[in-house]
Formats: sequence, structure tokens, C-alpha cells
Amino acid sequence: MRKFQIYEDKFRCHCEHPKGVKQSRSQKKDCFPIVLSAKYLYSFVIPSEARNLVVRLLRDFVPRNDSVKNCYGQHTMLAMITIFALLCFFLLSFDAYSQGLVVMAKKVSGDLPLEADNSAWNNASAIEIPLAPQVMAKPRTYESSVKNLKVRALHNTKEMAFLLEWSDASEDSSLDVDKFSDAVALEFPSSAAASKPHFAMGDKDNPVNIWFWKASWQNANDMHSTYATSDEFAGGLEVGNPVSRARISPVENIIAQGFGNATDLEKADIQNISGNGKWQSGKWFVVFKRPLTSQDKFDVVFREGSVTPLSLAVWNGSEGDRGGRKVVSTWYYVALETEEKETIYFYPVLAFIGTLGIEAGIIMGIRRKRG
Amino acid sequence: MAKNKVKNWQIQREMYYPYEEVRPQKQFAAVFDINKCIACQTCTMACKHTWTTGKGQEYMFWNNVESKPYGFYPLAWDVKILDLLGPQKWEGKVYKGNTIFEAAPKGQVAQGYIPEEIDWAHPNIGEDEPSGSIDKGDFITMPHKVWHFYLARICNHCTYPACVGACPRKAIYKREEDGIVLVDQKRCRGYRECVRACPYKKVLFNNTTKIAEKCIGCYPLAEQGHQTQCVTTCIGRIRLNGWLHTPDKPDPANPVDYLVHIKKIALPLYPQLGLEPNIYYIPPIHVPLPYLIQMFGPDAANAVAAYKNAHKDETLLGALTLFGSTEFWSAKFRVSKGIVTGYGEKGKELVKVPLKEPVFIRPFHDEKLQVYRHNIT
Ligand code: SF4
Ligand code: SF4
Repeated sequence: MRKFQIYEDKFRCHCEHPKGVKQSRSQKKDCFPIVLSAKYLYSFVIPSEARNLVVRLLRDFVPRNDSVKNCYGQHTMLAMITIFALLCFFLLSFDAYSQGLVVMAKKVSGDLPLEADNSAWNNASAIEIPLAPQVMAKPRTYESSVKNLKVRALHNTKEMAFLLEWSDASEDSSLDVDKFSDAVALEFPSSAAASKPHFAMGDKDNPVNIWFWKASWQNANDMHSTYATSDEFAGGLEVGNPVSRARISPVENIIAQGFGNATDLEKADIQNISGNGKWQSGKWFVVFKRPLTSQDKFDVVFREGSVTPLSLAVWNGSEGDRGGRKVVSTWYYVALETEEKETIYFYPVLAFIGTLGIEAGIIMGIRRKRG
Repeated sequence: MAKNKVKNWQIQREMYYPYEEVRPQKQFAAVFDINKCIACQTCTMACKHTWTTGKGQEYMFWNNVESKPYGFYPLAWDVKILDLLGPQKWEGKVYKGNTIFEAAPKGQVAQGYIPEEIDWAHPNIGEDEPSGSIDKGDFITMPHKVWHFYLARICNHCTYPACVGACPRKAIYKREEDGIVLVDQKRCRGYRECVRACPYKKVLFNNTTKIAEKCIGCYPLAEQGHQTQCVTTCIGRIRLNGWLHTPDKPDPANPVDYLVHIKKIALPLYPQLGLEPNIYYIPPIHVPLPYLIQMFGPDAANAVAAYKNAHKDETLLGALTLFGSTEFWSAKFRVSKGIVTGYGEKGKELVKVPLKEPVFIRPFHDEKLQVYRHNIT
């Protein structure tokens, strides 16, 4: 707090200063918002060392002079610094992108592959997402051998496909009372979400849309062999439990509004997500594919050029993972590449360099004037 | 999940449970008189033929009868959970050890484990296995040096069900109207948290429907005032269904209240686990007391003594005589002039049974029919 007051003082606009020379209303109006935004930025966004540096710069380069002219000079300086700081911010975001916060869905032509070994995937760059045990709700997990997962994405303006790849020493694809299946899920904010949901299964107002793939569903031979039975009655089937019915697909479309609330959205006739998984020498490769749009109001919708939050969960059957026993990520993002790819990502950089130049010019100009 | 303090009368103290204490309007309960069970498995088959004839239920027995001490379904279920629980100390009637909820490992609702599939594969393993080897002459020594008994088991429709507490999807519920615990076949996702948590291992996994199934307390019958299949078909007439009240307001005219709360002759199975199970057992009188105390709690000695004296107690004898005498739930009973009468919920008379069957002795040679006869009971 004390520090902040010091900056307040340093930033005190000369035109507001009691000793300041009278100036016209319009002049006052002009400089006020700039000062405010600069103050805001400095106090909240910029780390304290940077703030100190800026304050020192101001003190050294902008003499306190009560002339209106110089007051303008100071404000221009402030504005420049603000823009500079904002650009730094953008750069930081770009840095984050390169560190893997955003999965870039490569735009390709033709059909999207459902197989992991299709060469189309070579076009997509992978990002590695760290996974941590779920400890928000009981039953919790504290240890897991699954530490991260690689994501690749493709789109062809009509469909979206994800390839997920992670290490798992054992292929767990059949169930038994003490045997659980490997599985993976992609989570997106539901289209019905009021705002960005919590990554851990969403909440009542902010549902999440989950694409769930399970190895035991992939394993078509997982029909438990039966012995002599006298009737066909099966509780789960009678009431239409989606877990019980014969699998038409290894994936399931789920909507969740908090822990323990996942509801299956799949109606037999709306089968809009397809999936395919394959375990090979200690690794799972799972592909999800869906049209960019969907009729269901809860389903996530993708648009070319848009950025959508995404999070992931992995279950390792041999470690007893099921339900809430899983490893999860926080929110990451998936961006759908557009035509203007080069320019769209080049513009900010260009703008940055341009501004730098202008800024340097102005600073030099101010100095010259002062000198 | 918040932890709440609830009152568990079977261990005479408060304990932790994931949900608040909510008691149903009526509590499904039953008394099983172990002394009379002959392990004929009629109950098992009655249950199986009624409820578990479908695919994926081949090895599923909601009712099972195991020989103790070496019979188990699933294998070693009670030995394992007692071992996981650690020391179980009673001070008088108060349990000082941990319940399964209090012994829950970090991040879990209850202490427990998931049996292996093979553990369910031999439903009558250890059948008739006695407690030790029999030396020459032992069989004529009284009391017998070795022992075994039959433990008939169904879901206990617990007051504090671990299955309910452990289900992350709230797919298991306890019915408000009768306390019967059911798995919602539509909500269940087959996580088997209930299979892990139920210490009695009475939630089972159906590998065809991929979800959990359990004893449903024959609720369609209960709703009609009819006792469960395993109760009414019991050859040994060891079973009686009844609505159980809490010990602070027992109804002495209610046969199950009378046996459980007034005479304290019928005891819960492993009360130290902390679930307040609602199947009550009259302990086998020939089994060493330490074993009985471990299995039925500190009231075992009293229960054995009361049972041995039952022939002197007309009311007790009356309550015991109701077992297997009617297919309906007896809400009340009355003993007078050597006859016990069972009444239904609306006071309707259900059955009248003499406490002692009249004895007729017939001549060995019937003059009229010119035949010889053996007398049988
Ligand atoms: S015995 Fe097991 S399955 Fe039955 S209510 Fe109790 S905890 Fe649930
Ligand atoms: S039917 Fe009765 S006597 Fe026979 S095994 Fe079952 S409980 Fe025992």
C-alpha cells in the first residue's frame, strides 16, 4: 500500500497539481484517462521491480516542470510506456503459447483421420500437458504413473480431430470386479455455460462437455462370456443405463455440472463423436473426431479462428482409476487455425516493432525539446 | 464431502459418517436364529431364482450361507476387513476402536478393499469345515472341542450404509419409507466404490451390465406386507422380518423390537464396523465366547444365556415361535395361554401358533387298519 502511494505521487499529473498552471478543460480531459490507465496498469499488472524502473525513468527523463507543454510531454511518455507494457504482455502470452498453453488445430483439407498412424498428424504440432492427481473430491488420488499427455489437433473447417498420446505400461481394456479400464477424456466448457466453468467437472450454472473414451469400450471382445442362464433380464439394460447397453462406439458424449453429476448425452441416433484408441508398446493413442458444430445445446461448438478452453483427464485401470480417481489438467486452449495464419500471428509482432520505433522517436523528440 | 457426527446405538457412541443422521420412517430388519440353520441353502436358491437369474449374475448371491469359521463369500471377507480395521476394543458396551469410516485412508470415505473376481467364484468354500482337527474320541466329549456354524447373510440395509457413503454419484439410496438400500440401476456408472466400501461385501459387480447390484430386500413384497423370499422359504424357520425401532422407543409388542431391544438376544453382525446393520443374529450357543464377541459384540454372552433359558420365558418363546409361521410381516405379537398370535400392521390377526405342539402317541400296531407304525415328530 505504502509503495503504491509513492507511485501515486510520482504519477501525479502536473495539470492536477495544486501548483500547476491553469489549463483548458479539453487539455485536462485529454490527459486524464491516460494517466488513470497508466496508474492502473502500473499498480496491478507490472511487477514491482519494473514499476520502480519506470518511476526512476520518469524522474530522470521528465523534469518536473509546471508548464502545460511539459505536462503533455509527460503524459505522452506515460502513454508510450503503457503501450510498451501492454506489448510486453502480448509477448508474454506468445511465450506462453510457445510453452504449450494452446493446442493449434492445424487446418488441413480432406477427411480427418480416425487412426493415430495416419500421416496427416505429422502436420500438427504436439503440445505436452502435465497431469496431476485429482484431489478436489473424494475418493481422491495421490499417486499416479501417468504424468503427462501429448495433444495434437486437426480441423478441415467441418470437423475437428484430436490425437491424444500418453504412456501407460499396461493395456487395461477389460473389466472385472477388480479390473478397471484405461480411459481418457477431453473437457470443454459447454455451450450452455454462463461463464468459463471450473476445470474440475464444471458446476451447476457452468456445465462442461466431456468426450470420454474408454479402452473397455474399444475392446469389442469385452463381452463377458456367460454360462447357462435362465432369462434375459438385466437391470441396467432394462432401465437404459448407458454403461450397460451394447457399445456402438468406444466414446461417450457427457455433460457434467459438478462432481458426481456426469450425464450421458448420447442418444443412439445422435452419435456425433467418433473415437478410436490403440495401445502400442507402452503407449495409448486415442483419436476423437466430431463436426465443429452440434445440434445439442450443451455440446461445445468450434469455429475457425476461435480459441476454446480444453482440459484433460486420464485413467489408468491397473492403478484402480475410475470415476474421480484420475489424473487431470487445468484449462489449456485449442485454437483453430485459419487461412490468414501467417499474417494473424505476424501482425502483433510487426505492430510491436513498429511501436518500438515510434516510441524511440518520440522519446528522442522529447529529449531534444528539453535539451 | 462433509463429515458428520451421527449416533450409532450399536456401539453406544457418536461416530463419523459422510451424511447426516436420517432415519427412515420404518426400518427393514430381520432376526436370524443361527442355532436353527441347517445350511440347506433353500434361502440362497429362493433368492437366486427370484432375482439373480440373468446374465452376469452367474456367481452372484444376494443371499448366501457360509460355514464359519472357514467359509466365506467372497473369500476371507470378514477376516480381511477386521485385519484392515486394526484393534477393535470394547469398553463395556462402548466401542473404543475405529469404525470403517473413522479408519478411512486419506482421501477415502471408508476403509475397505475390492475382492478379486476369483474370491467370489466359490460361494460355499469351507463348507462344514470345523474349527480344528478332530482327535480320536473328541466326538464323544461334551461339549465338543471343535465347532462350526452356519452364517446366513443378506445385505444388512444398514442405517449408515458404507455403500451409500462411498458412492461418488449418489447412485445408492436408502428408501425413506422402509430403509431398504437400493442401487439406482440408471445412475450407477460401475465405479465399484460401493463394492470396495461395503465391509459385508453385499454389493456385487455385474460384468454384463457393468454396474453394481445388490439385495433389494424383496421390496415389491415388503410393499405388500409380505416377508422376503429368503425368510418365507427358510426350511429351518430361522428367520423373521420386522420393522425395527430405535432402542429409546422400542415397542415390546413388536417381535423384532422385543428380540433386539428388550431381550437383547438378537445381535448385529460386526457392529464395530460402524454401519448399524439391520440383520440381527441370535448367536450360536455352542461357539466359544471370544469368537462370538468378535462377531456380534459385547452382548453375546447375555444373548447366549437368554437363549438357553428361552424355554422358561413364554413371551420369548412366543416371539421365537413366530419364525417361519407366517409369510406376512408381523407388526405385533401376543402370547396367551400357550399360544402366540401374530398381527399385521393394521392389527389384523395373521397367525396363531401353539408354543408347544400337542403330542399324540399312537400305538405301534394299529388294530383298525392292521398296520404297524413308527412314531415320528
Ligand atoms: S450391507 Fe453393505 S450393501 Fe447392504 S446397506 Fe450395508 S453397506 Fe450397503
Ligand atoms: S433356508 Fe434357512 S435353514 Fe436353510 S440355509 Fe437358509 S437360513 Fe439356513
